[in-house]
Amino acid sequence: MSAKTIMLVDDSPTMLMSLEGILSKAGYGLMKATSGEAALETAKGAKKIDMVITDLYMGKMNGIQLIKALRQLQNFRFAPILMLTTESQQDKRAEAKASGATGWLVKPVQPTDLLQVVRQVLPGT
Amino acid sequence: MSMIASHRLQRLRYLWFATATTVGCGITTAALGSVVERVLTGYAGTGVGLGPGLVTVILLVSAFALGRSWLMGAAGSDGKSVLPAIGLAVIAPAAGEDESRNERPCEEGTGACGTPPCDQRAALVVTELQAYHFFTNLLRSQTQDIIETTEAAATSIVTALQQVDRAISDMMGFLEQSSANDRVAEIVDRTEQEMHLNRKMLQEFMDQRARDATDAVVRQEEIREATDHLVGMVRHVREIASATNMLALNATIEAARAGDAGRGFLVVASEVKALSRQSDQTARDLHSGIERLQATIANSLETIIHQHVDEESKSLTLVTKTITDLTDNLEKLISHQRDVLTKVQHESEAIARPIMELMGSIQFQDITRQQLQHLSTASMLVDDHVEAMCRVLEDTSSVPEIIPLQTLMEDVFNRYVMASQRDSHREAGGQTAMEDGGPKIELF
Repeated sequence: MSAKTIMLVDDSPTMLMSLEGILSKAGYGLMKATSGEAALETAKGAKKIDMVITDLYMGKMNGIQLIKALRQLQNFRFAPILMLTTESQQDKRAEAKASGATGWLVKPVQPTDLLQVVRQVLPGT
Repeated sequence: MSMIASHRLQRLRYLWFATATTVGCGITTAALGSVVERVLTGYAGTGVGLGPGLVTVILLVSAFALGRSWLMGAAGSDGKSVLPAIGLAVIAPAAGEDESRNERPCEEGTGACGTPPCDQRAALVVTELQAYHFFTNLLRSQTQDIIETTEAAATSIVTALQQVDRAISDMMGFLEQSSANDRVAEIVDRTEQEMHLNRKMLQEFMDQRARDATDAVVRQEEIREATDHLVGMVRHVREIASATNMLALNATIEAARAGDAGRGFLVVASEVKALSRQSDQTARDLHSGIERLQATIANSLETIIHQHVDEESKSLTLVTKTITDLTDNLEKLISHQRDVLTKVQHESEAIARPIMELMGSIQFQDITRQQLQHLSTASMLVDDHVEAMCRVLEDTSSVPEIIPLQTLMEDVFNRYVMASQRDSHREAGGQTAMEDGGPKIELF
């Protein structure tokens, strides 16, 4: 079985490197974007992205807006999309849930927790 | 001109300005005012008396305007920012040196930010407040530096961690490839089979040699029996020779008794006697030869059986032992190699675990970055608020509307993205922390 591909979206280079280090070691293929707009462009052009992990607060297009835009794309209607953010407010979580987010993770996330959640939403990996 | 020299000149100018507008104008222009009043009164020729007080005020205002324009000209286009700074340098020492300087009459405020307020204490406050702009700029600049420095450090740490992790993975891959359990087991099995085959061959050889030794003993016995039989036959030949000799002796006696008639027979008897002696002698020689042959064969077989076989047996035993030892050593070596591989695997996992945890821990930089950026934003809001307060102090003609700090702080609060930030804010405001932040992980 070919490796599943995850797109990481965060405006922090440190976060991208951290997530890349954790997930690549677990065998996942990765694509990275540093803004919501770039992520959307990548999503439109990519052949296959199995999952998205996005930050909430980024430049113009935030994570919730990105999720709403991704859910409009055929390939991302049912793909798991996790929100990984420092935000922990319930109303933001509810907003993310309503926009189509699969789950909510508060930074910093422990590698074992992250991998467990990813395996849970991406069965067979 | 250096900055210090420029400031000194500015201080001199302001001293002149202050002196002219306070002491000089208060005394000199009072006298001059009376002269001017007289001139004006005389020139106007009217009954309208301006009075010495009014003229003094006019002159004071003129001197003030002159001094200010000079100062503003010296300050350049940025008079707004330079003037208060000079005021700070001048007003503070002046207040200590000559209290009377503060006693000059206050003017009504001009209303423009950056102009000297009438009240010197207000001017001091304005000056100080405007200095906060530099402070908050400095704060933001340093904060940005911290963000960039920690980001660079975090990036290099993650890069180094990835390199270490890659090196460990490569090493483990190599070790596993060269020391795969299946391959080791195959080597052990093959070696064991070869060693077993060698031992079996050696054992068969030793058994064969033992059988050969036994056969040699049997053959020795057969040879001994055969030679004994030969010795018996030789003895029998000697007995026949002895009997023949007796017969020859008797024949000789009978031939002698027969006289001439028996002379021929006597010769024959003599020849028979000689033949019997020769036969006996030959039988003796034959017996001796058989005995020597028997001894030689016995010695030879004895050497083969008891010496060569023993030596061979010892040598073969040694070879067998050596092979066994070699097998044992090889098994120990392979076992040791397995232990090393297991140990390396264990240690690699022990190293990989904290590396993975560090990869996660490095996320602190993103959290710190966001916290610092919020502090930066808060400092900008405070900066704007200070500027607004400055305008309030400067504009004495009206009370400008400002956004209360309380409102700005609420804005700052609403910009927070972490429960810990909000709780820290509440605690700083004397409230109790109330957020638990919710679950760290939540699947919808």
